[in-house]
Amino acid sequence: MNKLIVLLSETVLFALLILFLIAESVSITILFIVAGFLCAAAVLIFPKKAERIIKPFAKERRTAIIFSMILMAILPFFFTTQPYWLLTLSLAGIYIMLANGLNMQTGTTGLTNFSGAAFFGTGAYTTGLLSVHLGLPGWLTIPAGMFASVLIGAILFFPVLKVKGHYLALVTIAFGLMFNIMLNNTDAIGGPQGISGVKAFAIGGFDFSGMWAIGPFIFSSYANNYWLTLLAAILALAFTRYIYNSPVGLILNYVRDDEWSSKSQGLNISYWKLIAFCCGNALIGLGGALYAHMIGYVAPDLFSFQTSLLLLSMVLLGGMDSIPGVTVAAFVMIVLTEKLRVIQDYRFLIFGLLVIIMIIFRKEGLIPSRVRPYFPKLKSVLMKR
Amino acid sequence: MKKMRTLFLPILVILALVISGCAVSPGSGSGNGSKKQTVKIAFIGPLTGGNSRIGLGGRNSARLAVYDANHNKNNKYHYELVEYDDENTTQAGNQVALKASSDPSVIGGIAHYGSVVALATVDTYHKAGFPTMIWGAVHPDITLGNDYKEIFRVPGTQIDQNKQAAEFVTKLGFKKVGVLYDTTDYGRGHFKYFKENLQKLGGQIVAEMPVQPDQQDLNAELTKIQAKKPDLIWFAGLAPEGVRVKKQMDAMNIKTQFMGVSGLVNEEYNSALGAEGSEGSLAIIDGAPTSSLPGGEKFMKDYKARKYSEAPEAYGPFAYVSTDLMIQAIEKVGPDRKKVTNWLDTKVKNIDSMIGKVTFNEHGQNDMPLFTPMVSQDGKWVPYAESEYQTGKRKLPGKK
Amino acid sequence: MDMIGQQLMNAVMLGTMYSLVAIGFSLFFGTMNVIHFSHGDISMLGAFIALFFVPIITQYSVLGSVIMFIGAIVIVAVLGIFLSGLVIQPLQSSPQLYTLLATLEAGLVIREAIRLFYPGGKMSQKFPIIFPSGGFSIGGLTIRFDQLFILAIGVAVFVATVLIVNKTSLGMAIRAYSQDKEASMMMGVSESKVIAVTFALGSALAAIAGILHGTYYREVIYTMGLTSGIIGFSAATIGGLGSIWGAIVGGYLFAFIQTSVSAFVPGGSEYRDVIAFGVMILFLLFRPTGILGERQSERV
Repeated sequence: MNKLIVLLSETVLFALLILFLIAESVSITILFIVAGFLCAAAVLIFPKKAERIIKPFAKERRTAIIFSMILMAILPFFFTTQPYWLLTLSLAGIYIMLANGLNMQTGTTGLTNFSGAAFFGTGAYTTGLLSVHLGLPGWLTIPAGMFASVLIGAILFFPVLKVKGHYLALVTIAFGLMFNIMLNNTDAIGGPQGISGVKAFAIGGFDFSGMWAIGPFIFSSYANNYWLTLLAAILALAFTRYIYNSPVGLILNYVRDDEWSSKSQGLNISYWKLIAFCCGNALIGLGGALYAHMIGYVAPDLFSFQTSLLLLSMVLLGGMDSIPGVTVAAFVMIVLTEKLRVIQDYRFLIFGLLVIIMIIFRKEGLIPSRVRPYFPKLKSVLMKR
Repeated sequence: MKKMRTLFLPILVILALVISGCAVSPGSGSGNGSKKQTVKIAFIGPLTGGNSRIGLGGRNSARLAVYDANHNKNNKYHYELVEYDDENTTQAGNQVALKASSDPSVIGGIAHYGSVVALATVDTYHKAGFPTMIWGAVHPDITLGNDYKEIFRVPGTQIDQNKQAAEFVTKLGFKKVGVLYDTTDYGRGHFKYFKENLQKLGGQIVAEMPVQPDQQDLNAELTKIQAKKPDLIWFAGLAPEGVRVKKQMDAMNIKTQFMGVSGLVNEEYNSALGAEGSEGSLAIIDGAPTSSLPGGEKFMKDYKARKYSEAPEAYGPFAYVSTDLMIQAIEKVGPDRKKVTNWLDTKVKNIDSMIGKVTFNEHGQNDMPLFTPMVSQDGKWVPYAESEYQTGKRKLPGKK
Repeated sequence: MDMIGQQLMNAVMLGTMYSLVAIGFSLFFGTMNVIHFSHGDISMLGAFIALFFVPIITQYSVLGSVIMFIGAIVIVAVLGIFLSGLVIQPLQSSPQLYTLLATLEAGLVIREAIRLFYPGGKMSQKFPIIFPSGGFSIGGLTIRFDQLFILAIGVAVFVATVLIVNKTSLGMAIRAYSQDKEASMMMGVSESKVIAVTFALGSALAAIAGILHGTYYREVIYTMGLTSGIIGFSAATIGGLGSIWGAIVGGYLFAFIQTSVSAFVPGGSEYRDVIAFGVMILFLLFRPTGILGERQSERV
C-alpha cells in the first residue's frame, strides 16, 4: 500500500513537471505556481493530513529514491525535440551541486561564504584551460577542476579561519570581487572573453557531443550531458547525505552551534572547518568543471558577486543545513527563472522582495532541517515537546 | 498568531505573482494578412539589466522591420518576431540561443549585443544550422575567428572601426593621445586596435589607463593623463562611463578634446551632459549617417511614428537592416534554414541599405562597412562632415 | 611634486565620500551589532531624492540648495528608520547571515526600483552643480572651490556626528545601549528611540554622501550604491568597526590606497580594487579590530 502511494504520487509529480516545462503559455505557468504555493500552504496548515502522504515516503525510502531516479533518467525521452529544457535542467543539476556544496560550508558548519562563484569559476576555468590548452580528457580535467577549487579554497581558508561573523562575510565578498577582476584582467586566461572551445566530455571512445538513437528517439549532446549531470548530482547528493548523517555531520553542526563548547570537548575546530570548507569547494568545483564541459565556453561574467548571492539565497530559501530543502530551492529557482522570463525586467525586484519576505517570515526555509534521528525512540518524545 | 503568519506568506506570494502577471507586456504580434504562411524570426538581445536600453532599441528596430515587411503586399510570408532576452550574460545567452535554434519553426535569428555572449553562442547556432545575423556585437572573432557559414554580421568589426578612428584622429592633427578604456571586452578590444592603427599612422599613446566599468572616481586617472599633456583624450567604453569621464574632465577644467567609440553615440550622453557639456565631443559610428542615405530618413520617421518608448540607439539601424536582410532571404528562397544560409552566404553582394551597401565576405562579415565620424553639436550627435566644425564655423574645444 | 599634491587632493576628496558612508556602517555595528548592507544604496537613494528638488534650486540658488540638502536628508532619515523596522529589527535575534542577506536584498530592491520606476532611471542622471565653480592654484596645485566646499561640509559633518554621539544625551543613550543593552534599558534608555536615532543619523549621513557624490562627479546612476556600500564597509572595517573616528580614518586610507595605485603604479589602475581589498584582508588577518577598534575579547 505504502509502495503504491509512493509510486503513484511520484509519477503524478513527474507528469506535472513535464507538463509544466512543456507549457509555453504564461497563464498556465502562473497557474502552476499558484497551485504549487497553495499545496505548500496546505502542507503547512494541515500538517496531520500532509503526514499521511509524507509517511509512506519515509517508510519506503529506498523505493522512493530509486523510482525517482528512474523517472529523472527517462526524462530526456520527452524532450528529444526541446533540448532547451534539457540544458536548463542540467544547469539546475549543476546549481544543485553548487548549492549543496555551499550548504555544507554555510549551513552545516556556519562558515559564511559569499564567494561561491569564485570556486565555481576556479573549477570551470581549470577544466577549460586543461581541456583547451593541454587537450586532457574529461576524466582528468573534472577531478583537476575539483582539486583546483579545493586548493584555492585552502589558500583562502587562512583568513577564513581567523575571522568570524561579519568579517568573514566581508573577506569572502572581497575575495569574490578580486577573483572576478583578476579573471577579467588576466589575458593569459582569455581576459573578458574567457575560454572558448572547451571540448565535450568523452569517455571510452564515446563523445558526449555526439548524437545517438534508440528507435525513434534521437538523443543530442544535451541529453548526454543531462545524464552526466544527473549522475554527478546523484553522487554529490549521496556524498552530502553520507557526510551529514555520519558523525562528521554532527561534529560540524556542533562547531557551528557552539564553538567554545566544542573546543572544550577536545575538537580541533580548525581541522573540522577545513574539512567542511574543502568538501564544499570540491562539490562547487565539480559543478564548475561540468559546466565548462557542457557549455564549452567559460567567461568571467558568470563568476560574479551576483551568482554568489544567488547561491547563498538558494541555501537560505531552501533551509540552512537541509539537503532536500537546498536541492528543491536550487531546482525551483533555476527552472522558475527560466519560466518567468516573461516578467523580464521585474524579475530581480520580485526575487529580492521574495527573499526578504522569506527571511522575515520563514527563516527556517522551504524545508527546514530536521532533528537528527540518532535515537529513533527518543524522536517521538522530542516531537511531542 | 502562528497560523496567521503561515497564511500570510503564501498570500503575499500569490499577490506578488498576480501583480507581476499583470505587468507582463503583451507581445509584438500584429495579426494582419493572416492568409499568408507565418514565418518566425528570433530577436535575441539584452532586454533587461544594465544594457537593456540598447537591447530594446535593437528590438524595436527589428519589430519595425517586421512591421514593414508585413505591410508590404508583395511579400509571400507573414513574419513574426520571437523575442528572447540574453541578459547580456553567457549563461542566459546560451540558453536562449538553444531555445531559439532548437525550435524548428524559427527560421533565423537576429542576435546579441554583447561580444562575449555572441562568442559563447556561435557554436550553438552552427550546430543547429541556424542562420544568425549579429546586430550589435563588434568583436572581430565572432565572424573572423571561425568558419561557420551560419554567422553573418552587418556592422563592422572593432578592427575596421578603429582603423577609421585612427585615420580621423590623425587627419584632425591630434598626435598625442591619452587613453582611458574600460576593462570589459568592449573597451579592451577597441583599445587594442586603436593603438595598433594609431601607431601605424605615427600617432603616440602618451598614457593608457584601464578602469573597471563600475569605477566612479576617475580623478586620479585623469590627473595622470593630463600631466602628460595629450592633444586628445580617447575613451573606449559605453555611454554611462563616457558621461562620467566627460563630467569629471569638465569639473577638473580639462579642456582637452574628448573622443569616444561607437558606444558613446546615444541620447543618454547628450542628455546627461547637457548641450554645454557634450558640445564638441567626438566619436565614430558604424554605417553611414542615417540621414544621408535614402532609407535612413524613412527609418527615423517610421520609428517615431510607431511610438516606441526607447530610442533606437547606435545599433538600432543595424538590427533593422539585419532583420530586413533575413526577410529578403526568406522571401527569395522560402522558410528553410539551409537555403536561407546559402542565400545570405552567396547572394548578398552590394545590397543597398540605409547603412550603406552590404556585402558579406567568406566569413559572413560585411566587407565594406562604412564609418562616420560624429560630433556632438547643440546637444545632438551629427555627422562631422555636416557639422559646423567641418565648415570652420565652430572650433573643436581642444584644437589650437 | 605638484602631481603628488594633485593626487593627494583627489584622494582626500574620495576619502571624504568613503568616510561618510563608512561612518554609517560603524554606527550601526557599534550600536546594534548589525551590518546594514543596503547602506550604499541608501546613499544612492539620497542622491536621487535630491534630484526632485532640482526645480527649487534653479529658482532660488543658494536657499534652494539648502532646502534640497535638508529635504533629502529628512526623507532619507525617515526611510532609514522604516527600513530598519522592516529588515533589521525583526532579525535581531537570528544569526547574522540573515541580516546580511536581508539587507543585501533590500539594496537590490532599492536599486531595481530606481532603475525601473525613476523616469529614465537606467541612464546616468545629470546632477546639479550647487557649489561655485572655478578654483585657484598654489604652486602648480589646482584647488577647486567645490572641493573646498565638499571638504568643509564633510569635516563639519564628521565633527557634528562625533559631538552628537559623545556630548548629547541622545548620544549618551546610544553609547550606553551599545555597551550593555539590558543595563541601559534598566536605566531608562528607550530601545526604540535609540534604534530610530541611530538609523536616522546613519541614513542622513548616507544621504549627505550621496548628494556630495552627485555634485562632485556631476552625475548619478542607480548602480553607484553597490560599490560605495562594499567600499564603505571595507573602510569601516579597516578603521575598526564601531569606532566613528576609525571609519573616517579607514575611509581616507582606502581612498589613498586606491588613488596611489592608480596614480603611481604603471598599469595599476585596473588593479586598484584588487590591491585595496587585498590590503583590507591583510588588515583583518593581522589586526582584526582595525586601526582604531577597541581590543576586545571574543563575545561568547
